Amino acid sequence: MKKLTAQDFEKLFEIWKNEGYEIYGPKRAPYGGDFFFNPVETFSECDFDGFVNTLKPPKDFFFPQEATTLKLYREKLESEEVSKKKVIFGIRPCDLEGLLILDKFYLGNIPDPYYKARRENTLLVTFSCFDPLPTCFCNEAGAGPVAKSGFDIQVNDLGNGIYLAEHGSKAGKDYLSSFPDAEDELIEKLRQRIGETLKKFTPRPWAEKHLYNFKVSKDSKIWRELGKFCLKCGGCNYLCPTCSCFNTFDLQFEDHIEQRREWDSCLLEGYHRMAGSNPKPDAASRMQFRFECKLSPEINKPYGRISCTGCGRCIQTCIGDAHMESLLILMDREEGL
Amino acid sequence: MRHALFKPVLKKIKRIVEETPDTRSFYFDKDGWAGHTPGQFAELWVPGVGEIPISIASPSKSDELVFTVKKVGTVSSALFEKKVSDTIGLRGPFGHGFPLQEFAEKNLILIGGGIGLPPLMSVILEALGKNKIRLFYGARTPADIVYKPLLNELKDKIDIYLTVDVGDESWDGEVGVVTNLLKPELVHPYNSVAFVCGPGIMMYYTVKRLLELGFREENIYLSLEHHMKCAVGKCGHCRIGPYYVCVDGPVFPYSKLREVEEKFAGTVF
Ligand SMILES: Cc1cc2nc3c(=O)[nH]c(=O)nc-3n(C[C@H](O)[C@H](O)[C@H](O)COP(=O)(O)OP(=O)(O)OC[C@H]3O[C@@H](n4cnc5c(N)ncnc54)[C@H](O)[C@@H]3O)c2cc1C
Ligand code: SF4
Ligand code: SF4
Ligand code: SF4
Ligand code: FES
Repeated sequence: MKKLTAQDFEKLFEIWKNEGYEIYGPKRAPYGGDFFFNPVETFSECDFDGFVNTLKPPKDFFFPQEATTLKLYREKLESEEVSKKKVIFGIRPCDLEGLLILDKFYLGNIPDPYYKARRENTLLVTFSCFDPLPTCFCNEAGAGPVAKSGFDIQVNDLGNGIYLAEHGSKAGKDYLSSFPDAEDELIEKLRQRIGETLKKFTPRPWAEKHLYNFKVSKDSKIWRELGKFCLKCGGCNYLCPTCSCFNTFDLQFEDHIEQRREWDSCLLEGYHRMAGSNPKPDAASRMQFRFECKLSPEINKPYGRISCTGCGRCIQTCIGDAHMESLLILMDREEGL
Repeated sequence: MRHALFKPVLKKIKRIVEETPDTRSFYFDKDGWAGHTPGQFAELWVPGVGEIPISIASPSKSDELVFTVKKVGTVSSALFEKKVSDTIGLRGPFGHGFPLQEFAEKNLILIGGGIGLPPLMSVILEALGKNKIRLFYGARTPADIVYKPLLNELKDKIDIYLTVDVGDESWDGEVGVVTNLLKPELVHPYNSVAFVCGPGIMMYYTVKRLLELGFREENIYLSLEHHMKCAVGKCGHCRIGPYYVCVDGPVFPYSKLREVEEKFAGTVF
């Protein structure tokens, strides 16, 4: 564990820029709006004041909301595999866990060249969380508030301009090597902070009971109940750090044609529609489809964990309250009936 | 010879055959295209419009690639605008086809409905002279029967039973659903496997009938149709329970599907 100050981070930012990295850090939209990962030049430019998490999960860097995959100029076809050196600075542990799941999905089986190109040459710097929101349940979902592995560097902000940083990769180790080791009392202070943080989470007895015990039957009224309240906006899927589904479409330009990918949502009817039929015409079966994707042990076997990281974005976003928390509470009630 | 998994190969249409008023076969030279097994499919890209999954209708040994397409919506209609020598993109071959090599000694019971015949035709042409083949095929009307000349040619080499939902004055064959053709004296489970491809409802009743006739679940193979975009297990659209139809299928033994049908979201076929 290393001890760093704000000036040390400014040095790291300089090193990264000299090595050709673009740095993205949390920036607040004007007028107290949401946070986004935007390009930053210096550490002081990042908005850590009041920052808990970004509106869009960092999957946007590797699996963008919309991206071109193919370009066709007359008879010449080009594949758009975009690779840029970048540092993503300030990722929260829940979202790191989400990225690790996406890595297994997109790079496993038939590896996706578009994701792979964007994912290469990336440094991930996570910041552990000491001020969870009421919607956060990474503690229950086994993803936070401190990441265990998968980052290059993890930073713990102890306040008063003191940061403890640990490495999770060879690259991270090299970047931190010139900084002094943290004293034992600081490490003890960090341990205490983590302990205090765990007490700050909203108690959710239903989460512990049902997140890892998903067995809602196909004809359960839970699906109809949730389906009734879904307004089919797709928001919960778009913002989920582990949702990986996309639609493809073509665009015609004056001198070329493009094929693009865009985020898709399994709660929308058109996601399933085929010419002449739809295997999931009702909101209830689409709800089952969404939540089995997140929690079913069979479906999630490749990841060795559930596909919900407890980031709470679906809870914040859903205008119909048809989110993960509602599912867990309904599961609890059904059990009690 | 490589699999075009993400980037399509551009190919010129070599020949177009009008099969029925709304169905056409598109022929391409095979060069540069990896070998396939019957039941596998390709993504046909009409540049500027979109991509659709279409079964490969030709056998693996043919030096032509054949796709038989029914005009049903946006992309298929755009494909029907294409002429001989026009260029389209092809990706594939994708998925798991019918496991013919496992059934070298078996009788093949092939049951097709509507536009479900193309992958079965690939099976027929591949297995001809090797397996004993019995084909049951149902179309909506006599005019909707695809591959009429080819079926005529094949009728001395394999057993063919046809039916239509609605007949006309020229039709003196069977009228009714394809399951009506599945009589115990024609379809017995001994030393046989059944390959089925057609609309969901037809496959549902066909499976029921085959089970009644004594077929074991693992000897009934179905080629599923699900909404598809990527064909490489990434876009998510074709997922049924823990399987991606594009990668783990489109051909599945019914024994695998029954549990999925009971436990996971939506209908499987
Ligand atoms: C493995 C497989 C093999 C197939 N083989 C054949 C074949 O040999 N001949 C044939 O005529 N048809 C076949 N189909 C069905 C064919 O893919 C659809 O008819 C076609 O996608 C309809 O597209 P559209 O744009 O014309 O229709 P629209 O209704 O405008 O569809 C828009 C989009 O939705 C998706 N979609 C719609 N219907 C289907 C569907 N049934 N299956 C998959 N995606 C769909 C496609 O991405 C399509 O581009 C097959 C489907 C699958 C899954
Ligand atoms: S956010 Fe809520 S309303 Fe929107 S699609 Fe998701 S469940 Fe439905
Ligand atoms: S199927 Fe639904 S829940 Fe699963 S990744 Fe796709 S959009 Fe998300
Ligand atoms: S399901 Fe909801 S809480 Fe869980 S990871 Fe997705 S958006 Fe976050
Ligand atoms: S078609 Fe995209 S996952 Fe199967």
